[in-house]
Amino acid sequence: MIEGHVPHEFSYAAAGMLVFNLNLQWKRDPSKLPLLIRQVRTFFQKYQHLLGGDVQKLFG
Amino acid sequence: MFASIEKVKELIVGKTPVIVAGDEALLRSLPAGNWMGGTIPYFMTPQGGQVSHTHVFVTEVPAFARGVHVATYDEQTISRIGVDSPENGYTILILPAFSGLHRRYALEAPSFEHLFLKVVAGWIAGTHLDDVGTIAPKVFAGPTGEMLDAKGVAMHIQLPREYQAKIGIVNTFEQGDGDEIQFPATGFEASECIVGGKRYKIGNYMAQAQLDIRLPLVANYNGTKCNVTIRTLDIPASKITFFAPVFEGVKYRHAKPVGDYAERFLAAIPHDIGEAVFCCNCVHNYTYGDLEGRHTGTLQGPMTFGEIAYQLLNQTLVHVTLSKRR
Repeated sequence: MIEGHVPHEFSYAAAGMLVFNLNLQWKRDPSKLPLLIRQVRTFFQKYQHLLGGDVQKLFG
Repeated sequence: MFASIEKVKELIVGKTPVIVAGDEALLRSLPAGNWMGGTIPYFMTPQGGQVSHTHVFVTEVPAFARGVHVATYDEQTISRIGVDSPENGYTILILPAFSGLHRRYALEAPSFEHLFLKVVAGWIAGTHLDDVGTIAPKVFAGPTGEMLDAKGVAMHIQLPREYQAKIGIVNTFEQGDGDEIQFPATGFEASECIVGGKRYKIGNYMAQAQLDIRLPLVANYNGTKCNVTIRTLDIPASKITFFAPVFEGVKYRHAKPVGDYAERFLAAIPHDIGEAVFCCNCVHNYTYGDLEGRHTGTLQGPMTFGEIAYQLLNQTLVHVTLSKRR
């Protein structure tokens, strides 16, 4: 997702904006990938109640 | 609510935390207290869109809020806004337009720590459009009585555990069917663009494409449409400026024409959002959408020089709603 290989339109605006911005950060500095993954993981853990439909579509 | 300044004074004296948008002279007359504000004379009110130098728009913090804290931020400290925002609650941030802080936030907020983990919304303070360049937009920190044109002010509102805050974005614009446009560098201005892998002088491209500059450029942030409003276009000098930055690597398309803005807007508001505890809309929607005297539903508030939904947006309505956890 962060590398932009998994196109997805999120139902929750913050999720779409976060992933999009993490992708831009990764393009600027690929070595930051572990840090960016931690950010998206923390976000998904906090907002899992709002992201159920997205998680289902993304990961089955 | 759209109110007289006397009504706002009553609320402040009665210790109700409030966020106030209005004319500078009115905000200067308010007593110290648990409030913050920013200058802007454009509003969406129950009577429709209007310009007012006699009334303000006041947003009360819900009485059940656990804690309310007003803080100021400068260019060095603004990166803490996400960290400072409460774990459960929301933050409303007001920044003065055209300041260095406005610029820094616009360019760098997406990489601020914890920004997207928290609920950070707000707006950019402005002036009457006739006064741009002559009067500096201001923000006000009620607890200290400060009036600031280079710092921002935020209200951090902590909620009881059973409530959660959520930001909503209403964007009446969609990407059009025209070219995909990129820019070679991040910034508020550009002299070149990239279309179909080729670089063009922006003046030549815009002259050839004949784009209506009242319509924004729209990027798709994984499902969230983010607008960038065109501020000026100088075709002979090949220079375009924007009210929010364009970012290198982002693909923009010029927006589709909207038609009747008020009708389109009403159709775009979700019906199940509940009552908003905060709302702002863009002054360009007011002017380009010809909203003076026209209604856009129950979502009311100041019409501003930029909207904050985590990061800076343009030509967008931003609202915060609360819901009870199940």
